[in-house]
Amino acid sequence: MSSARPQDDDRLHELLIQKPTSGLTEAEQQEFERLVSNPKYRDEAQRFELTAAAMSLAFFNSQYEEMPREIHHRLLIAAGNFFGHK
Amino acid sequence: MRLDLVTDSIGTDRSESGISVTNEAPLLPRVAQGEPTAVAECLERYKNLVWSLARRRCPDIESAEDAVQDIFLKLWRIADRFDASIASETTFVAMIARRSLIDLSRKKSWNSKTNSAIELDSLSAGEMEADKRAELNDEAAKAAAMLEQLPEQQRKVIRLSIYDGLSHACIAETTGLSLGTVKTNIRRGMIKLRKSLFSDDEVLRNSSLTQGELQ
Repeated sequence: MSSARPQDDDRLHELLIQKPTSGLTEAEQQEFERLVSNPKYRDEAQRFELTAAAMSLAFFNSQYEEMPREIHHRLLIAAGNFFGHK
Repeated sequence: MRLDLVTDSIGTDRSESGISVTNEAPLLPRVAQGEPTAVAECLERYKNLVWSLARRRCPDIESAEDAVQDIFLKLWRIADRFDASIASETTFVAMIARRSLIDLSRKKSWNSKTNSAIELDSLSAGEMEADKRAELNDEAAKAAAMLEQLPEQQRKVIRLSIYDGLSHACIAETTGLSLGTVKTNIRRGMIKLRKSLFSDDEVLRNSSLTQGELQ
């Protein structure tokens, strides 16, 4: 465990769930960084983020709004610039 | 690199209904190599997903446009971090988009939707049409099945948080539930789905917070 005190683990799990739902304030993010020093907690943070992402996809139920063509076109230009400079 | 020149070579990968098809071969490993066709295909495949996520979180079209550009730039920078053994590419893309939108929302102090913007009557949602569920990727299909098994109140609160992007306080105001109940519902739902979708629950077993919530 990354943190010595059980209350730290509880707080960490609170933040692990809050991060991919309502997000963290700057102070909470700093607290999160302090508590999440163990790599396995980093993995856990990603699992909760992936869980929220999967839920989000489930709620959309494959019914997405079409991106306007002009925005798609601008993204293609941005991609060209990005990869052209790599 | 002229990506506009390669887009014409990309066949449409959408069904007649305009719904993006999932469970296709991952593109991000090829994007990480800077392969022009893969970059354009990646945009084509995920543009509507990312746009829809941005439209639900951003207060206006202009903000959504800036947000999607930011999201795709991030995606291209970290394309080599995608690991198909952990999650599907669609879920990974949605995760990066959500992370970026949540951060942006915090930085810009965008307010959550007001109560009036949320149609509570329509919040039986989470009940997916069966024919549409077949088009979801593995994790999303599992999530849809799990969400349907949750108590209605829990599903409603999770939808308001995950899909509508409401803060916990705003959900409490919208639903009339206490803030504590809102947080508990979200926590329990998240843990159930996390456990169901991703097998390594060693960390969860070690937490006193989740004792009794995993059974």
